Amino acid sequence: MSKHKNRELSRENHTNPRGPETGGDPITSPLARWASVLLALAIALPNALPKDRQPITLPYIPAIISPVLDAQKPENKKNCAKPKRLRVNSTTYAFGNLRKTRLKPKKTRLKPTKTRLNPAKIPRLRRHQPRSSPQRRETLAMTMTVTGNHMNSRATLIPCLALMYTFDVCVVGSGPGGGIAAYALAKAGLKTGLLEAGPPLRAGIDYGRHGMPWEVQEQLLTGQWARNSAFGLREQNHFTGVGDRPDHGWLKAVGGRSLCWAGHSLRFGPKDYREWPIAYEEMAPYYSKAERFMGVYGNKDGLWNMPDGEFLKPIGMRCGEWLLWRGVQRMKAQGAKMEFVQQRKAMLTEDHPSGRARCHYCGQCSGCCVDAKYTSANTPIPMGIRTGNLTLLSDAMMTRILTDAGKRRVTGVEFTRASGAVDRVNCRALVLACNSIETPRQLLLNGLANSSGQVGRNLTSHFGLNVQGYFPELRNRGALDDECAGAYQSLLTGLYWDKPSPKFQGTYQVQCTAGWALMDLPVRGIKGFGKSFKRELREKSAGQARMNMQGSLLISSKKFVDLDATRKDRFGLALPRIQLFYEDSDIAMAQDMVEKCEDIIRAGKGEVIASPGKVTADKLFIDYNHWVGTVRMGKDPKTSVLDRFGRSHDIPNLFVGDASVFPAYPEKNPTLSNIALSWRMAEHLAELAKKGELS
Amino acid sequence: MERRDLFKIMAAGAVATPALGQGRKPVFTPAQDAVLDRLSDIIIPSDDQSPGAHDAGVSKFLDLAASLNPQRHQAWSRGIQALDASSKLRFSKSFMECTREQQEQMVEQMAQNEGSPSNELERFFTSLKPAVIDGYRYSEIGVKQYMRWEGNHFDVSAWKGACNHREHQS
Repeated sequence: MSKHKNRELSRENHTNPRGPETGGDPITSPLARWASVLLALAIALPNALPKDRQPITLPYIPAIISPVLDAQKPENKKNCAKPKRLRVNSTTYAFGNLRKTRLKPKKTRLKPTKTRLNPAKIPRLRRHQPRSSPQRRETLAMTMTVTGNHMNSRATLIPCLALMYTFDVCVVGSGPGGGIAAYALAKAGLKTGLLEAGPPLRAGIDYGRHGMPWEVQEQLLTGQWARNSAFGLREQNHFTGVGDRPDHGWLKAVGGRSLCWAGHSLRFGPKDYREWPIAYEEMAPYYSKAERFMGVYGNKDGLWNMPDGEFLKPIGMRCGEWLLWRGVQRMKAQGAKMEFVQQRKAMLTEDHPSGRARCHYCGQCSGCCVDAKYTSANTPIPMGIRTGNLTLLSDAMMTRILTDAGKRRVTGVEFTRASGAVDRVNCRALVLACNSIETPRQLLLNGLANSSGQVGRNLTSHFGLNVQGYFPELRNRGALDDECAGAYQSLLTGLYWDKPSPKFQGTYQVQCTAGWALMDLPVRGIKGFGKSFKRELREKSAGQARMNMQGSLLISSKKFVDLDATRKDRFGLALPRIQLFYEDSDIAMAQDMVEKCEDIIRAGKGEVIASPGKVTADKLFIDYNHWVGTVRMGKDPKTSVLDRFGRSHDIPNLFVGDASVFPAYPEKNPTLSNIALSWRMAEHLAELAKKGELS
Repeated sequence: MERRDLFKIMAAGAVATPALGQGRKPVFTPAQDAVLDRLSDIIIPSDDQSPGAHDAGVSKFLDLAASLNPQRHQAWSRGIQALDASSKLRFSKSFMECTREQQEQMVEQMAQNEGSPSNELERFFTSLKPAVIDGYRYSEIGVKQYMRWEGNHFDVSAWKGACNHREHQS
């Protein structure tokens, strides 16, 4: 307890007075006004004002106390009529005994600590408050912020000390890249702040509840069940699409899209790094570190361009996937260059040092309710907070990057809370890990780091389509446990690694799934009724296998992100505009995939039941989670934005920790490489800080 | 005891458990419900492998689906009327008074132009069939007996893998 207090106090010594532009919260009672004046004085007076900072203007109400003031309004009085105890719900970050806390949210009763504000005036988290009400979200964010340690749910509520944030490094975005960067920086001993635009969500409570179809029929009918997946909570209408139906997924929550990712963890190989300023050998230790940290299951296949990792035990494939494997073996025997291997995913099949639960193969992975799947919110962020160096600020949307007068150095960021209050963070270095659309948007909005003109360019993603086959020999099989650990349990890869295709540029892989799906109908459009219809529906569902292409989109001048001149978000900032036009090469690649997959299905003695046939641009769909490349790294400051570590060429204390740094894109899923790169960037940053090159 | 009867007993237990439509008034009259129940059971009948749509309680699902969408409710109500009118014309009886064979003939008539329906009855069938399939495959009978699904073990050591057939893996 005392240690914790010391930490808070040491932060007080670093606090900076804030500029006059951040005031403006309503002051509803004289008591609060006096309290704020006293607080501000208590903090401002012992510190000599640094000359380069603006003087404090009084009275000034910190954003963090605004819920207190709200609580004093007559309409909110009933919510805190007799608040004798403070309840803090910290289930998300309870570690070690996850299962128990998930099933029965733990309520910890805490005595109010001595604070300068009366904690009785802080509104309680009440059950009847809607989950999304700003007051509740603010309160949650506040408890999370000021406790600084929700691992053991001991809340020391001293809101006045959280007035101002000064960190060594500020990481913006808590997704896969930001989460790991924050952890690595905190572990290296740097005071780190992690800014997240969304609220903290609890696995199994706020998203990811189990349900058998007959228990959730109404939700299935109304489409609400889709929201059970964390991805159902994603942002809507937050960009303008131009061209061939671009789409973008953005999940604003602590953990970002790691909450809903499928867990596919494939290493990029030596060939993939040829176009990068880094060699595979340099990345290999970071891949190993990341795999050990995350817990990745997989089979050692010995492929040269998809190197084996440090795997937990694999879980195997479904019957239909084995028959595709058989088809591939037959085609290989005839000289085809391809491999068919088991999928590798960041889910626990064995006990793991993180203490997360093991997978129980329910198949509802896009909202894993037991945290068997790695997310930023269940591993690096709590572990970072445990070091005592990491402060998480949730519901804090970065709305401005603060720099010195010449835009040569970043000095901090300004952010807006859910309540609309504007606050700021001062930092010696800034890590952007927002996502491959948001990071370039923020740089463009602030006019930073773009002397090369490459910010927002080189946009690429994965794209694809589906081919479906049916194996009559599986028609009598039971559905067994077809859900497994998510849809795709196998992967067709190794295509065009040795020799590029003359018809198109780039490579593709094909993710495969098979069998029956619990919440979806894998086979549709069977005609008729009665016993024969019933039998056919069953046989096709049990014996189907689906192949989903994932190809790397050609980087070209037709694909980029820029700012929309007309549309603005609720913070008044221009929305991003995503331009996507498929090239002939992309269409040729998809055509090649369709033909290959049909051949494989037939070689496995199956029949093709659904295929796009002749491919055109309107049949292709974009992978809206896999955008990369918009803030590329490279050796030459004229053609790239970042150096080979992810540090800006223009601004020496600006770093990027998300997948937008990729200078070229292989067919493999980006997240594992994003995590490894971000970890490497964070270690480099920590080293620079140690050498004193940051301040 | 016949196998079919055994199914019925199992179905009774299975249908009684879910809280489907509890506290909600059915939108279809008992007569309409009987027609929907029979139609769904003709589309997915009981066979020697698994019970049919009647035993799986699909008509309850249809009622729920109609209650969530007034347009669907109206369309199906009109469809039931048209079905009765048509069967009176053909067999001089209402649909529920016909024998099962006659009812199946009626459904055959409805299913003639599946995919490109041209009259009220064909439209009714095209709209009803996907809902019947969903209702059946989302039911406990549909998941456990029809598809023989064995997943979602909370005991993680019970996992045997999705495919443990040696013949598929060679």
